[in-house]
Amino acid sequence: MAELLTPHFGPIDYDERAVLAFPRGLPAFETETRFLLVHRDATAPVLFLQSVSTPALAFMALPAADLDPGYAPVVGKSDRELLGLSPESEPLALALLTVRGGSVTANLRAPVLLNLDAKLGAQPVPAESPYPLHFPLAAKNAERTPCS
Amino acid sequence: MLVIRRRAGESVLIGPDIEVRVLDCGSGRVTLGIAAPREVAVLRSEIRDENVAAAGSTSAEAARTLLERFRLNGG
Repeated sequence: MAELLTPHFGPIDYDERAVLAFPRGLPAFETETRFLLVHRDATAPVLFLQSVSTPALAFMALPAADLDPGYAPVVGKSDRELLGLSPESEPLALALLTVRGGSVTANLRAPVLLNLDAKLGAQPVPAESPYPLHFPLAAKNAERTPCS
Repeated sequence: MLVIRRRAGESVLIGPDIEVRVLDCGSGRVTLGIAAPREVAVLRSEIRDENVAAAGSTSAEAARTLLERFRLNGG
């Protein structure tokens, strides 16, 4: 087991075999090629994509399918190759979350795609996508308008 | 930033390998054609910007606020 000292979450113990390899990094973070997917009971279902190389770098994420039950990521042939996916298997799609002032949005346009079996990840940017870059999360106390 | 005016059909070359051509312009939107080698990532800048903003907003406190104040599923 190894230990990562993070400013956000304190020390994280991890197994080297759990590290996800991102051969192309992420857009704007192309040199970040090693991440851990961190779950914590206290903050479930929010997941954290924590850089192993840069302890201060982490992203908050939610499974895209939790936000949009019919979500189908755009996964091209070269994306499948990069992720080591067979034609029948689908990656896990995570939407990275951004907090701006009092609102939170999820990036459904360019999800982080993970092949958990092969421990590979990528965030390909589709040329076209029906999904929004800023999908707003609904506030809990927002009133639902009844259908009448 | 180099500022160049182009009409539809005209292009700019960036380095020896990259061409950006204006295919159509009008009604507040420009359609660009981009020819670049496969190894050059062509991204709308807002994707990179969004990742930077996401990284900047991560904290244990933000995660707790998320849980308290927002619905985390759309089902």
